Amino acid sequence: MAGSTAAVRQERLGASRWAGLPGLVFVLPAVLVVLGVVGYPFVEGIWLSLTNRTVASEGHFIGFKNYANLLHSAVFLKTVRNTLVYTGVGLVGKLVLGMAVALSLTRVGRGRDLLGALLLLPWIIPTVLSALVWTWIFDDTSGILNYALVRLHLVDRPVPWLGSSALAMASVILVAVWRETPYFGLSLLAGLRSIPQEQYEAASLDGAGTLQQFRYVTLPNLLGLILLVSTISVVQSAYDFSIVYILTRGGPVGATHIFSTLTYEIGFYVGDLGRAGAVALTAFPIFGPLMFYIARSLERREASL
Amino acid sequence: MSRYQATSLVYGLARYTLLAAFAIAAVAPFYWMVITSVKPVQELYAGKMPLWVEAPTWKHYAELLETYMFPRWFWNTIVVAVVSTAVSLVLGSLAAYGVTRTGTALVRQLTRVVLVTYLVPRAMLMIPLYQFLAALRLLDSQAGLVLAYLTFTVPFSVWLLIGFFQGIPRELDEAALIDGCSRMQALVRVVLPLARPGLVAVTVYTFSLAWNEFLYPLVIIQSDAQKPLTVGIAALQQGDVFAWGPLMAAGTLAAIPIVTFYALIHRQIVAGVTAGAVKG
Repeated sequence: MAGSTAAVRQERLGASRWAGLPGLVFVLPAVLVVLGVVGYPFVEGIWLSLTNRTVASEGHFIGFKNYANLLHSAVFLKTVRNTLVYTGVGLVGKLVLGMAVALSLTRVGRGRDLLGALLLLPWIIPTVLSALVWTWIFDDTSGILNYALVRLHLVDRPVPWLGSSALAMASVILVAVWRETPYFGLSLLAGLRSIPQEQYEAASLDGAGTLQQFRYVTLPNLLGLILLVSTISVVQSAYDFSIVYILTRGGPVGATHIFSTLTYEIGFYVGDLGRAGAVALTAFPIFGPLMFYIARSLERREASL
Repeated sequence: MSRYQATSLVYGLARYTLLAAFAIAAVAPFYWMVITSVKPVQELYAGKMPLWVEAPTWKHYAELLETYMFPRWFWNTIVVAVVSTAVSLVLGSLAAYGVTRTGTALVRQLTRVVLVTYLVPRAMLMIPLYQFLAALRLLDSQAGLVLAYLTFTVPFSVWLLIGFFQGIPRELDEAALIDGCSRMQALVRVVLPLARPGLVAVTVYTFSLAWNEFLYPLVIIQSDAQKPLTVGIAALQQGDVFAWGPLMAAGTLAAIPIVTFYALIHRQIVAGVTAGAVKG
């Protein structure tokens, strides 16, 4: 209702005084800058991925050869698998823990703001800094984690958290989950608080217990939000860089390489720019539509406020 | 005690235990960072009580400031963050005003393009952006960094400000127009003062985005003197093992502005946008 009167008012104003053009003038500077620094390089990047340009030579058009080569590259296929694991397992961890944070925070009265601020720390502190602290925590010889585990007799000798393939991936995911859980928690908390209390009362009158209320009231109400927050997180973490780069540089032997770290390595260590560009863009056909979905949902959410 | 009270007690206990665990997990790494930064070397690697420090020292801080270009990195970070935040505030306010005050489909479409660019992952853009700045001869310069940061600070501030501008009743600036203000005057004199909480939020968020950025400067900056904090500090990691002290000192110093900023915004946001407009 409020939306439709606003639309009518806007229409009237548009017809009389606004007349389209001035609106365009206000939006144009931002649009031009964004097209200049994102749009143009992006298109250029697509072209680049179709050439064999290196740091040393200009290169020429080679069609889809870079992409075809990637499909036969063991390192690249491993990177795709790693990215799926890093993103997928990470998402489950963030969702479950984030939901736990949100559910426990909703009933907290006094001190919720302070608690929320504390819980948000991992999300606001520069990722590079926290990733460095985690590297220090995971350190083989002097790290606090190994120190504690050995002292408590949980392990006999220090564990190579970042040095062995399986553990390195688990460690990197742990840090990613630690970093993003607060974001999930507080987003879901906002969603929880917007669920009408009557729905819980009605469910409770119908004899629904706590678990059933969660299943039949909380989850359905939060579904849209969960989907949106998850999509945003997936798009971002599939292309995460700082955590993996700082903790492992993609190693050991490529065990934690994800799209961004492999792109960086091929582009700036090997110097093969065309191929690096192809690595970065391979998943674009999947992520492009996801990005549009996110933009549309965010617009809708904003419009409904 | 009734059964109901007993279960609610159990739930309450579980809730607070969980929250305490989460709070400890959130804070512990930073505690570890700060405590490492003031630990003398002998305690660092062979301390009896690792969670505490027996003889605190500023030696790591001194070493950091003497040996590395830390103050320079700090300054670079401030300059780039301030400039890119300022540009984004101006462009963001203009665009948000344009889109919230007009209904044309073209303007909405263009704004959507801006929003989508915010979602383009940095890693997809790093190679072409590097090429782009190389062509402009802006590699290894603060100007190049600002351009790179605009790729995410501009879309972000447009997007955030749209939300805040929507909360300001159109009647207010329409009244100003009737009184003979131009659109620009209405924006500057009526909308912007009312949107202060939004402007503060955008400032804090874009500033911290710029402050925290790592991938772009890693790619763009080569010389030590041009580095921002993130890249400078990360490079310390490649030194010898004993750098953990200065490294954690650097981390502590680099985190302080962001934590302070964040503490400030907490109050500001609560003020509420529409409340200010109606009362004002």
